[in-house]
Amino acid sequence: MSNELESLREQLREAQETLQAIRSGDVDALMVDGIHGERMFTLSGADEAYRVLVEEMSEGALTLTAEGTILYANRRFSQMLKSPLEKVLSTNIYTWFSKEHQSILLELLQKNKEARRHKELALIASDRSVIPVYLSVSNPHINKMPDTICLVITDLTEQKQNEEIIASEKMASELLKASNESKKELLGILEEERKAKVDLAHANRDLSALSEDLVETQKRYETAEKIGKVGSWEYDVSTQDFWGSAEAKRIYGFPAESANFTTEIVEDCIPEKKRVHQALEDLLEKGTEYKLEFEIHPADGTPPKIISSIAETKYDENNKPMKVLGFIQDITQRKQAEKSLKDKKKELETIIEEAPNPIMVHNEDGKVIQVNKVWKELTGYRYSEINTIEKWTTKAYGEEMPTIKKYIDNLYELKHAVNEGEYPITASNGETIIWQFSSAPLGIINGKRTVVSSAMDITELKKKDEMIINQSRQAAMGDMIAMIAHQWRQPLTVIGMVANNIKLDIALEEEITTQELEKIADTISEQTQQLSQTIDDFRNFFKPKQEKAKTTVGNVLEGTLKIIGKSLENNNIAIMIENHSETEFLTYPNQLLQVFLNLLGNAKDILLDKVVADAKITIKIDETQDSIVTTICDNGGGIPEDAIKRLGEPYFTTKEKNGTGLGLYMSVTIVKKHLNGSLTWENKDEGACFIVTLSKE
Amino acid sequence: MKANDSQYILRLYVAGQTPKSTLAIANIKKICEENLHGDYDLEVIDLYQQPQLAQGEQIIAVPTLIRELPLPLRRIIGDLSNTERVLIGLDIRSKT
Repeated sequence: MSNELESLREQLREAQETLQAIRSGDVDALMVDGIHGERMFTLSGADEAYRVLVEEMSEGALTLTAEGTILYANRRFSQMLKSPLEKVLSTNIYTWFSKEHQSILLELLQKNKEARRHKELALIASDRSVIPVYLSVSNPHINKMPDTICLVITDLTEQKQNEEIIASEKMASELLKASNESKKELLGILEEERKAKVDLAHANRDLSALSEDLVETQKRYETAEKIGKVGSWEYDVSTQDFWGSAEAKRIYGFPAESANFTTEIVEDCIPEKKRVHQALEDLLEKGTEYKLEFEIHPADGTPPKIISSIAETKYDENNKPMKVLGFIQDITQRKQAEKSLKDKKKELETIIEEAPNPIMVHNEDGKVIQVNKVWKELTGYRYSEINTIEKWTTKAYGEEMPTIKKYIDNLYELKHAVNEGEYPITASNGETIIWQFSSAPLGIINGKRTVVSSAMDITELKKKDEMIINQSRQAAMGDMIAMIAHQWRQPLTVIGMVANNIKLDIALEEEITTQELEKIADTISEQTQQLSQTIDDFRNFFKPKQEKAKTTVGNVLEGTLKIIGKSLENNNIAIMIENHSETEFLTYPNQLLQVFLNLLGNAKDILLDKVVADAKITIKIDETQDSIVTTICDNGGGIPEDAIKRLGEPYFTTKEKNGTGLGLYMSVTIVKKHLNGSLTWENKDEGACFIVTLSKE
Repeated sequence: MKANDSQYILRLYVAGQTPKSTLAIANIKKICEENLHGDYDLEVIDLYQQPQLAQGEQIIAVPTLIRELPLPLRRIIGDLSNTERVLIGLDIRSKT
């Protein structure tokens, strides 16, 4: 009974106290237990809207004491901490942060700083998970609570994830960009174009997957558009609404965020708007393929661009056009590259066409891609007559065609330019012209290995050479005849003398015995043999067929002296020979003989011209390790200084009479080109020396 | 001194971020820290966000502080700014 009384007394005390608190304004809400459960009635109603805002906001909102005690926290904050609200309120805010972040928070919560402070920190939730958050701190003035701190906490988890995605996509795009830059400009353009196509295909695919992952797809799509310079647009047939992607707007010279992007202002950028508009109408009405290239004048005043535009119609279930989906691509760069390539190609073709030498471009398929003007002029063939290697070789080389064609076929393996030598070519008028060819690879053109062959018409040069040779031969023949005359004089004198003796004997009526007649016959026979030998010696020299043979320089010199020796002797020119060489070597003996003959002949001429008293020619044959050196010196006073350099040029002579200026030129040519040696000259002691150096090999 | 060696279990019922409620939290936290030296367990219940938690506790006015332990149950209504009254109400005056 007394317990009950005590309880009642306690309840009464509580009731009085509650009443007192309500009366004195110590409470700000009342709880009523109704049919819907407990309900709260707050006593101050004007701020309810703000309270709801704070209670329901998607950021965590807190009020703290200066020490960090959580006076108030909304539900969002307790969700962030994954802890019931009652386990959050009245706790200290610092306990929800890691040790290292506590000191930063302490600084952040300090008063007397800026009115609002912000910082990115991390919360430690009740399950120890780390939540990246953004803290905004302020110190609002609240009646009776001067040191209250207000904290708004934004959960950055999603944002961080998005940032990571963006960063990885950015990195991928950077990599893509970097790899593009390393390529050559033209390849780069082609590559970009290819990528654009691939990206366009991706973009198309992405479009259909749009509903699944709109945000991600959009990002990739925009990247693809940017890389490929591809913009997309949509036209709603029923509402006539027009939409363009950021890249589409950029291509047309509008800011990406521009809202004013309508069919009218787009068409204003197109000089050929009528044609473009018609194409769209045809697509909608007749289903005609929409695939155009046209020029645009961007709205921002940048230079005109060329764009490629494709579009297709989307139909509803009743097969009625619903919307038009289109893509535009900025192909200005590609067009410029194409034009520049075309210009370059044309330039090259013009250079080839107008070149002063005959030029032919041909490929491994046997196709003649180009022959220039000079080629056609010199050969007299039209392009259609020689537009394949087979046609050309058949016309130009006749019977030699299979060999030449085989040779040309090998040219496609070329890695560098080659000189191919001289070839006689039959022109359309049947005349033979001589061309010296050289070829070089042009690389792969249109998938085929291509070669440029150029020629030099050396017909005239050849004719000139031939003329010089003929002249020099004629001059040599003249010399020969003089030499033969010298050689024949003695035997003829002997024969003449024998004949005279016989005539004398007959006149004196002296008896000629058989023995005497036999002796006379032997003498005549001996002399005629000598005459015959002379002819053989000269004939050997003029032999048209010249073959290589093993011999010594001494042997050749002996042969030379057989021809010219008598002539020197008759002119009182002494020959002194000093031979230190017995080595046999492979050479053209007759050609060397011609050289010696020319050098000895020149020495004789100069000695006779100068009327030297004790005229002599010294011939010395020496050997070094690799070569045989023959030095022919005279005592004719030497070559004049001003002539020493010009000596050896065709038609240059120092002789006062009968000089053609071809003898030494021919000798130099023979030694250099045929005998693989050298012929030099110098003045020494009393006269000129000519040195013939021949390789032993 | 009734509960010298037993832990205080306190429950404060508040009404969101109303002035009296926030004041009550600050006050009780301060009183406990200064007088109970950590030997307490305080739970703050926001009835604005979770009104169902008032069920069975006969809460009429908010803020209300209830001393669950040590028994007997004690209630203090108001913003707890009168520290003296709170200490008497909770019977912890002798702890200082």
